Amino acid sequence: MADPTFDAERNVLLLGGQRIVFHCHHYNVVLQRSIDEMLGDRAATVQVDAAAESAHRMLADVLAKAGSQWSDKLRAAEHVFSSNGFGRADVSGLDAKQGGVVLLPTSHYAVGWRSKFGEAAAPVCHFATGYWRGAFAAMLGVGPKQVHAKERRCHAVHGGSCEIEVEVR
Amino acid sequence: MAIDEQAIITAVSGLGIAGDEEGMIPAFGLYLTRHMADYYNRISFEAARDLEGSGLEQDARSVLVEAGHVCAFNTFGGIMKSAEWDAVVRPMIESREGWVYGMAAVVNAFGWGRWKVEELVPDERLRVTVRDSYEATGWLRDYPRSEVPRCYLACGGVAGLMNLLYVGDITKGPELTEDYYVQLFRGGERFLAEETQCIAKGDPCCEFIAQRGEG
Repeated sequence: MADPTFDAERNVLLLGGQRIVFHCHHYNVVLQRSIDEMLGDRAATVQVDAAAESAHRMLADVLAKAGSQWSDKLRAAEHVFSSNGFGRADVSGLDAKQGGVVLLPTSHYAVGWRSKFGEAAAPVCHFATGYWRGAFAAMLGVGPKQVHAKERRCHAVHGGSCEIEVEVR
Repeated sequence: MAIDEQAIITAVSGLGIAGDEEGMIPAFGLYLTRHMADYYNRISFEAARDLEGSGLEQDARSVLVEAGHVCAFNTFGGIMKSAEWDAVVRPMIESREGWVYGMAAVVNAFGWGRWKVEELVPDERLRVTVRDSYEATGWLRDYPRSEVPRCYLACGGVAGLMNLLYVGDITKGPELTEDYYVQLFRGGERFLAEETQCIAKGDPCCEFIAQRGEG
């Protein structure tokens, strides 16, 4: 499975040819709240798009080495998500033709948000939503704009699991 | 014993920091991620660019640097209070200033680029250079050469090192509470950092100077 490699000459971590950096939940949710305040109504879209394009770029390389079967690609995308600390993803409801729902029994941003700020007024898993949009697009071999994703339930708001709906546009 | 940066990087890299069975990385009293630099850059630069020409450019920078202060307080603070720090770094520290050099060495395992403490005047001034900053190199890849520095996170991180050591006293293992954060980062004695050179502007490396009450 794909994991980051450390370039000791430059002190740079790489995964799928893209830079990886360590950051904690305090920084992640404070930065997200700052972006929310700065961009207002556009904030969620900007963050989801950023995650979709970043994940798509990284996973295009990772998935190319993962195997040709749908199950290989799905397993690789799930591994990248969970091994990098973004949460646990149940992708059994994701179908190659119709999309479906990614269930997150744990989600870094939702857990981090609740831990730092308490209950949220609206879903906060913009990164995870974009990640699974980008991942699904990469698995299908299409661009991230050809896939739509929406968080329809969020632990930070309701407790329980987060649910991300993914479908081809 | 002086700070052995390579030994620290090797030790931190060898901790096997990765998601557990819940896909979370609980470490140093935090939840860590091994995150995509592109993601941070895209959302931060989009927000900063959105306010350019509005007269609120400096406010945007301050907000993004503030997130870096939060990072330094919690991540650097959490690490400097950890058993891993006590086992690996603390035995190498010979003076109070060694805490800054030790933490800079740890940062060099984070993937943020190559941090180097160029000058440390105790309780007064810290100058750090960073090569391959993920923020500046990300800017240069996706945008034209910048007129202003772009390393918001690193700027907050450099100031945070000084605040943890010389405004507060991380060597005594304080609780990292919101009140303590306010004491360290909002008071009149706080350090602020200025990014005096940035690769995004065409400089050869990024340079940060932290001093009290400036920035």
